[in-house]
Amino acid sequence: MNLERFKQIVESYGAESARWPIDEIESARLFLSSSASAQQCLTEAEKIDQYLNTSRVDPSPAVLDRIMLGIEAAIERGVETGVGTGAKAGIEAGIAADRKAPISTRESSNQHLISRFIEWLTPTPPRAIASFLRPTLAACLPLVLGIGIGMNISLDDESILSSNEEIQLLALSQSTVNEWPTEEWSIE
Amino acid sequence: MGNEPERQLIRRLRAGDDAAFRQILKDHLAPLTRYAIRMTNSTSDAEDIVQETFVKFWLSKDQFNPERAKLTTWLHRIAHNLCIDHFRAVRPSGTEQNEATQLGPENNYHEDARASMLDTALMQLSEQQRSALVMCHYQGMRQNDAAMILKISVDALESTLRRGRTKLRELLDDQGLTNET
Repeated sequence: MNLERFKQIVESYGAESARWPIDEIESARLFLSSSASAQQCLTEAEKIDQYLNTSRVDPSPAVLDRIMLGIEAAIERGVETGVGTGAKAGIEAGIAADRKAPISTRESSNQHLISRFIEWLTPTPPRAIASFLRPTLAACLPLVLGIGIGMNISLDDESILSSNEEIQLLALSQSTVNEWPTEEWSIE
Repeated sequence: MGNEPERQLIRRLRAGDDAAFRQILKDHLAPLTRYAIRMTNSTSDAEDIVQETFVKFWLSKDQFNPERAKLTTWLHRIAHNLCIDHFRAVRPSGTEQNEATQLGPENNYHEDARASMLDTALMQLSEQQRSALVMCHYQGMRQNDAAMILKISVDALESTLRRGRTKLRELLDDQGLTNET
């Protein structure tokens, strides 16, 4: 192992020795322990590794379910069409049809109703705004619920009197008339 | 090449055992989906590619020889070829965000922005460089397997990786990212 080869290894495979070629791991580690230049190369490679490690791709269960259902459906189509070349043609035709169909149609045929509702309720936005969008959606739920309930409460129209009706009733009521201080209302 | 449990699984699959195919799906669906998402930077495109990968595998299961290659290598090779077909058919925009990423509470805006910039930078590498980097860094593949998938020698893989990482470094330098830490 020399500096040139060590540099090639870390520039290709990064700083983690587990990714280096198996038959060179030991000699590269030994070289690293005795060379300041090798250590410097490793530090440079670590920076790139750190950035590569910030990329987190973790397909959601809904995505994996959708793919699984799509595979099963495509294979079933092929089996129904026949075996051998017939099956292949059937499956390929099915995949082609799926690809031509708009994604919403494909999703509706593949997804369970509940998972579609959950996805609709909590869409998967770009990662930068996801951490803000979900708490905001959660905070808005009581508000939406309140508006919904409020719009569905119907007041009993028959129990509400118009202002004219109220005045007429007051005028007709004997007790109300008796309570009025007539002397104050009399015209002199 | 493939280990004994894998060979048994393939034998059962060829004998028409549906459970064997389901087991293969269970073992390889998530890693292949991650590979396709990283290659296309699009969940919907990745879904199509992975679906087609497994269907093609099912159709060609009799051609697969577990003595010559690992199952994961074979599946990645199909997925890689489909990614190349996809890039030829539709030039990637490189701007679509990764819908599939599940964010945990520990994520913060700064980290997410950096990850997003990295995904964009990865999309600016050549397909070969990106595929080599994804397979060796994220998928944990050994050099021989990655080289077999890309149909190149191990030496060529090494120089592809080196050029890819150098270009990535330049792209991240342009965005001032590598000087942050």
